[in-house]
Amino acid sequence: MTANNIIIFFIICVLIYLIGGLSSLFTFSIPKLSNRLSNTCAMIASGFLSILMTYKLLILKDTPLEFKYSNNIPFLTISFKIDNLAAFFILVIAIISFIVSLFSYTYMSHYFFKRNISIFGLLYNLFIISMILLVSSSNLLLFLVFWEIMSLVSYFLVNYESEKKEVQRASRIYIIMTYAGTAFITAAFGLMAYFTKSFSFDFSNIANTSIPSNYANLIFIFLLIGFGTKAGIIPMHIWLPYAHPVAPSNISALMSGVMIKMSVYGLLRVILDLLPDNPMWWGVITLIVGSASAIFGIAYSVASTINIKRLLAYSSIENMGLIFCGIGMFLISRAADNSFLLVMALTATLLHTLNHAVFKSLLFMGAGAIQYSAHTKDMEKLGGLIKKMPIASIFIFIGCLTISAVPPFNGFISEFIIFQTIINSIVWFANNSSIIILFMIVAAALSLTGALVAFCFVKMFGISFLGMPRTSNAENVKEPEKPMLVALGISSCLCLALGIFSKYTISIIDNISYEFLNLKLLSTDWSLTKFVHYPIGENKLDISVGLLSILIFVLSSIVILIVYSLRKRTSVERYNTWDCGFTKITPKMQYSATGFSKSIRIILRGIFKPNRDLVITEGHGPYYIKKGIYTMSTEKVFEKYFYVPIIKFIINFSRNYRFKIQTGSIHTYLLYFFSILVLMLLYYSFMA
Amino acid sequence: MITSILKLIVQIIIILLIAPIFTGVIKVLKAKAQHKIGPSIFQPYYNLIKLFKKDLVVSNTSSWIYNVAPYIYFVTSLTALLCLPLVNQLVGFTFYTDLLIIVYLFVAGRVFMALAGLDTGSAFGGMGSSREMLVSALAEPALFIIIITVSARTDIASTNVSSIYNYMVNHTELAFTPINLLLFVSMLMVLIAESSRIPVDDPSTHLELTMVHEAMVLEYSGRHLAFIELGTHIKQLVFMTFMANILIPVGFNVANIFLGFGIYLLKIFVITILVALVELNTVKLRLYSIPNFAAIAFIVSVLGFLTSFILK
Repeated sequence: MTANNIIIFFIICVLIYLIGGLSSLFTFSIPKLSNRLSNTCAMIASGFLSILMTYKLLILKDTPLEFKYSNNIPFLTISFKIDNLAAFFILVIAIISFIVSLFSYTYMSHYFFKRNISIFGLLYNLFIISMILLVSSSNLLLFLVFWEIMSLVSYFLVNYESEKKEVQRASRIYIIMTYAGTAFITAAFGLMAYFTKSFSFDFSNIANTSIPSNYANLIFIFLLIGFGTKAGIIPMHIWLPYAHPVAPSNISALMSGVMIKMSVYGLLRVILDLLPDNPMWWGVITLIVGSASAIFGIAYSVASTINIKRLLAYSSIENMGLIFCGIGMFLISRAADNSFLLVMALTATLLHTLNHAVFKSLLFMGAGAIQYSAHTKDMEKLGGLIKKMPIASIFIFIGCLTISAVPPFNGFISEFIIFQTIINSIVWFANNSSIIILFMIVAAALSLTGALVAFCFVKMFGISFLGMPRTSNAENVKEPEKPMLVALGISSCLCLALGIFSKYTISIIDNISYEFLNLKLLSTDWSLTKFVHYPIGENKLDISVGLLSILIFVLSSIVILIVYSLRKRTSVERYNTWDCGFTKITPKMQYSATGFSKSIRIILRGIFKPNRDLVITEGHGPYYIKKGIYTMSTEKVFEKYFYVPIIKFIINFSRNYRFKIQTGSIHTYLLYFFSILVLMLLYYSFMA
Repeated sequence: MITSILKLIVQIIIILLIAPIFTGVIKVLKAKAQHKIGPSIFQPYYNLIKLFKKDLVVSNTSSWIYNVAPYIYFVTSLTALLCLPLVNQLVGFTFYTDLLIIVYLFVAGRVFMALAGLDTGSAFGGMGSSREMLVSALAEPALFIIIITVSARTDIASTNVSSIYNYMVNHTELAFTPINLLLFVSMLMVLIAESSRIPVDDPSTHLELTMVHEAMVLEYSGRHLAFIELGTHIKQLVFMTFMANILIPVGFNVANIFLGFGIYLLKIFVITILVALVELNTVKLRLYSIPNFAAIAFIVSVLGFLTSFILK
């Protein structure tokens, strides 16, 4: 296959998505068919596209795929270019949307005859197309157009169950934050366009013109805010914990798995292509913001969530924080001109992007499966699901292990490389004490983050899957249908495979590094037989996940053999859980999610300011309570101290000045016109 | 290949043989210091043998996780210890491993144990799991800073075990610097927190106010409990081996394997005495004082880290 063929196939894939969307729209009277059509087309196109992109990454690694469509619209040349970086991101989109489409096959069935499935099918396909074209566009204006389509379509998808109050609120916050972010991105792109003099937005043209450093700084800050908003980086994260839980689970899987990664792509694209030099402090800021997101995200997730999807949303903030830490370290090492750290940081960033996409979509789909059969997202109402849905629970369990960075799953390998980058940076910057201390603090923060992730997912899995069912909802849970199970299964197999064979992923990412930096992380040749052990960069990073897993496997099987042979000598008796001599343990006596995380809330009470309130509704005094209402809440620090003051200020300001600016008299408006005319004339006579 | 597998097997056998004895030693030392007779130092072995012979009672509520967790806990602890060589001559698997992997292996074991605690539906188990996850989360930053400092001191910034050992063996004089002393103290505190020792957790009581680890495994019996206890002994030995071989690498590279092993045992014995001394002179902290304890461990490790750049 040549590059041209791939382009043709690529266009065909996009058309298949479109056909899927449209055919779903036209079969609106038969929801089942409509759903089938949209998902089948999405699956075919995604599957085909992931094969194409793998081919591009492995075989056509040196030739970018380009195509242009000339038209008469000024400034907007419709040009697409798929280099290795773009191909990598398209691959991520394609894999995840393949799995999610398979999942949607039956997942959407509980919306049949309640909501319009055909519109959903159209939006779903448009959402995927917009992301794919966004990644492949080689024109800033085009990039913005698709960015906007993606944001708008995802807004409608979040707003799918639009009659619910919480959904309305969430989607409103989402659209406001998205537009705030897009405003910053547009401003940054505008500035870049301004300095290229020519109005061509082509990436290659901008790279050749140097942007004055002051403006470059401004552009970077704008981009960090703009892309950070989409990524859910603290303090711009507030939309994420609202939007992810209320969207249908397949959409949250796509949003959290793929859409928020588009900001990583945008940021990487700009800093790799357009801003080839940067001062140290860019990286420092990104690193600080990233690690703050990591630790705050997971702290919120552990301490204040009982809604599974909100827990996952906060954990996405944490993971995006890790990815931004990678970008930060990349910028720092680029400023310091260290090539080894540079490529390592880039690898960490991209690897975690892929891995997070895989395991987070798995977990969101898992949450969807739970919601599908238990009709609740609330952990406190679940429990004992592992017996009711044994297969699905194994897959979700694998997701939990992966996100807790347990070897040999893939979450481990990317977190490992992030830590390696930190350690190597510490040694490299041995003479720059402030950077060392920064890196040390980041390392400590990330290690605490890692431990809290494990805490968080023990809470999630333990409370909702183990123990006794807490409500009748949990009691009547059934195993989800086959397509959902298969989707979960594929994801969890990917988690394992990408962990054990992470060397292959790294070698694919090496092609990207090579494209931009002329460097590779894997220093030695490797072959299929040596997959177990790979030295990275002069034996600095000598790990062997394969060997480790083999060892663990062998040891476990020996232990199991021994236990099996001992089995006959002792008997196993099944009996009730020890109830301290009372009659019987009831589901209410189990540890709850709130109780499980109480210790964290108390330790971090400086941040969360937990409020507990017990209202006695029946009983005599505080020592003899028959019935009571206990409420617990934590403070949303960023909303309270950052957003609410801003909103208040804006509202007050507009209230006060509304009548002063908009007086209602024609004279004032004429004065406005006149003064603007004068200003424009002045500008043209002096500036132009 | 064959020899390294043989070495690995020898190492596993040695570990299984020696791991419980140090818990026994701590118990005896404590008893002697309090003018009690105390158990034999082989008491942990007797306990294990007894547990292996006993029948099991498994909760009706529990699922497969409950049955699998003890073995995973045991295997991950064992693998973690296999990542660190006991003696210079016994390096089977060791040299492809990494210090950070040890941390992640512990995470694996801990996640399974905490889930098993929740699996029975008993409030004790949930409480123990919550506390165990909390304690280890608090101890984690210190552990990471220690590992980072150790690897930053080697010239090539590696967490690879073989590079660290090669460097340490050639620079045994580093053992007696303030850096290693600080790291040693911090690691001792991490050891105490992670292996459920007295200021943090009391392994010998069964009171809901004091229990952390014990509450989590309360429901276990028979060989399940035996594997958990063996795992805990091994986990304790991992930290001790880290302290003995990486922070005080003196005598690690003697040519005679038996002499080397003797030196290793001696060093572990000294650390055991230190742990016993700490247990004797402190009382169990309340749960919400543990953050202070962890913070001190963290600060000490940070001091070690900073000192390593001043004294370079």
